[in-house]
Amino acid sequence: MAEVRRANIVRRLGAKAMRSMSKVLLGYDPVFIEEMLNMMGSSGVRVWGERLQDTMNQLDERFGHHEAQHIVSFAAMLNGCPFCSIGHMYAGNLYLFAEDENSLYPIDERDVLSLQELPDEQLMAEFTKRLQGTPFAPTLAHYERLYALKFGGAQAESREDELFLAAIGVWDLLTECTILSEGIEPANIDPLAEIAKDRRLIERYHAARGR
Amino acid sequence: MNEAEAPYEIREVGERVHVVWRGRWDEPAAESFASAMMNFLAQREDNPALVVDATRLQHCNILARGRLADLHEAMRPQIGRCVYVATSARMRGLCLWIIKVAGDERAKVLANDEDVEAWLNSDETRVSDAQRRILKHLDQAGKAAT
Repeated sequence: MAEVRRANIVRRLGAKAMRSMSKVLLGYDPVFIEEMLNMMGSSGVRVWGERLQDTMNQLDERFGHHEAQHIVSFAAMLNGCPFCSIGHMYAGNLYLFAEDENSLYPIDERDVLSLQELPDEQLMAEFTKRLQGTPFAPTLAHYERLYALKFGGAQAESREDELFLAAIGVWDLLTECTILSEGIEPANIDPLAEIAKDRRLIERYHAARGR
Repeated sequence: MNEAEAPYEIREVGERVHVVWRGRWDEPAAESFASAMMNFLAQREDNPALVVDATRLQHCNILARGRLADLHEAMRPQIGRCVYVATSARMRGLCLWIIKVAGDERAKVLANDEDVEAWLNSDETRVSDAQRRILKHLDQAGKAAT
């Protein structure tokens, strides 16, 4: 029966230490780190981790925290990875809520799994239904552009496009690792950003969602 | 069951092998396909490129998925470059899991014909392709910012 190849003992211990450190320092558990170490070694994790962070920093700078997180959630969602798409949607939703506690993003992170079941055309139609005519319509335009760049043969025409394409590349690389992160209940996936440390905000957010 | 309703179809298209998956798959369905696929490849003397059309696959349970990963690993020495085509996020995730667990770096999951042709005619691995694109677009984004 098909089995996921595990990293060797040294890398497993390294991954365990990195996961614990991340949970304390950043507030979230990067469960995929063992596979990253398995795939590219510790130097590869450092080098590509810096490029990932560079991409995220540029997206943050251009779009702000919540929109940047929603964009990378979408890039991950298209790859069919629940871990990243839920974790970044959750982080984006929290950043938005932190800015205005009366504002809830029309896509709950707990909707992500069912959205991933939809054929692409229906997925885009569902996003349009939820975001069009709301203050989040610009994010819908970003989703549409990112989709066109990934699957529609569109070519980059702006710096924003280059950032979307970099994000697509980064989450194509990350999904190589996160696709093996199974067995985690979606409700137990952490927000994949530093806002995960703000436990009180998270409690208020869930209360606002009615749970 | 007529051909249109068959859960899978295997055929030669030029030098390539094209496979279509349909409907809802459990482990016996995957087992049946695996057997047919290995028999089909045993008759080939070359290592054909393989295109798997998963756009009509509605469901594949966890046992079937594991069997398909086993199959992909078993047929890896007998095939060339490979593409799985899927038009829903869930199915792309499933296909990526299969090729990842099978350890096939020359296989990729895509969604349109143009990308399929480009992948089958390239010599990149999935990881090197993603890394090349990251470097290229970060560089272009940097240039566009200045």
